[in-house]
Amino acid sequence: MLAALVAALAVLAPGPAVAHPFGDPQTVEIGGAGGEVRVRWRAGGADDLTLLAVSLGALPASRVMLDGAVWYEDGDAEALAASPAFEDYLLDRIAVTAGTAACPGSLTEIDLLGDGATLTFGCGERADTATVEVRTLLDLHPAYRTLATGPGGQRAVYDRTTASHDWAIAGEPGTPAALPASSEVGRSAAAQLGTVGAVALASVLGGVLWSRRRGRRA
Amino acid sequence: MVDATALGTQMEQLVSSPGFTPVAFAVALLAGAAHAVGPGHGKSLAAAYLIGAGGRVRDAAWLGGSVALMHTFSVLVVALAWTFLSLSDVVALQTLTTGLQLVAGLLVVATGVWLLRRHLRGHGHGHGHGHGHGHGHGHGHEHGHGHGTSRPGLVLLGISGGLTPSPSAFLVLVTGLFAGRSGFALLLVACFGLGMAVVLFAVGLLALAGKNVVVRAAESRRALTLATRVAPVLAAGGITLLGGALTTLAVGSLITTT
Repeated sequence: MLAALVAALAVLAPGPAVAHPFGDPQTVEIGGAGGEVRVRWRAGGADDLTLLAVSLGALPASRVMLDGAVWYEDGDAEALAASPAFEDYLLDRIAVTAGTAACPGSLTEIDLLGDGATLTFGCGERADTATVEVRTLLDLHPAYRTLATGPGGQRAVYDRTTASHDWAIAGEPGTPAALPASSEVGRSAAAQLGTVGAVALASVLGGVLWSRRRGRRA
Repeated sequence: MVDATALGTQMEQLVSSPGFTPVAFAVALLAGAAHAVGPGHGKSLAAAYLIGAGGRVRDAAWLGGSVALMHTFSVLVVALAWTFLSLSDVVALQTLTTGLQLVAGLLVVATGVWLLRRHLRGHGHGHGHGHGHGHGHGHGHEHGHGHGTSRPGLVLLGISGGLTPSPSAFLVLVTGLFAGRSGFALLLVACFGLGMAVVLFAVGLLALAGKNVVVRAAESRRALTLATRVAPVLAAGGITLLGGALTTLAVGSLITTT
């Protein structure tokens, strides 16, 4: 255990502080039908919108404090949405490929503080499966991750090491065996959490019995 | 120096990295400890309670353990509800956690008020703790109600300390749920809670050691008797006041965020 602690300290490089209130993580929701793939992106914390707007030049750099802290102010989301660089940013960092062809996309809906920004990609032929690449906000901090949901309860995590996942766009009927269906994700979580819970409970019960027996002997 | 945020970030990355490394558990433990070292989490409350109520090492362990257990449970419930029940559509996470802070503050107030009542009632006729002036037989049915710590009080403080989930622990578990590694993530969250517990336990031990030093150093028995009688009331009053401050802060945050 001591060796593990020493090793842990050795690999820990103090990164820049990310002052965050408790909030949603960054998410994308993938869906679509009839040859269209829609990706709805939500930043998570409102201060991420401010940071992104500063990074894209939609807000002055002075909005970032010397220690790196950023506070969201009214109008920041609108400033980001109005910036032409924002659509380019999203289309550069969120990409959809069906088969071997890249699907052209555009920003079709935007409500950054509500439903987020929706990109629609036209994949021409009927795209039952698509590869979706997400690298948003990683330019601001490499520790950002994106929690993604897809049709039929599919789930995946995008981070700096995994920027691409395959999705069954058509949902349950066309779901290839390689992709986790909703029931599988839920069942797997239930099985894993249940196992950990059962082992913990058994350990506690074992500990109580052991201490009682010890108490009786003493 | 390694800070709590860096440790939290490290833990979040480890949950989706391939393999199950022992380093991940060590990082989670350290992240939990670093999180608990920061402001809040009931360290001063734990110290006040253990000093004021004549706590022992075992009580400090109970307190730490209940914080760890409650924090793990709280993170588990919030993460499951966020992932599978679209919790964010019902209530903003920031509002939810502020609400939990409010509940935690109220729990502390309740514990403080209950302790105050217990001491004011139980000590009206002034029996000192184990100094052998013969009141024991007259109160044969108390079973520790009039003196010493009580498990419900400790557990209530523990629950209040672990009720609000840490953002890092929440992110670890939701990442685990999304990446199909929920068991591993839950173990990391439990280690995080254990790290918090270790800090609270250590604070409790320090408080008890400090108290013992004072008791040994006290030259006047009368002063010591007075101190042992007054300290619990002061501690209970302090706990009530701290709980009141926590509750007020949470109400203030709720008003500004809604």
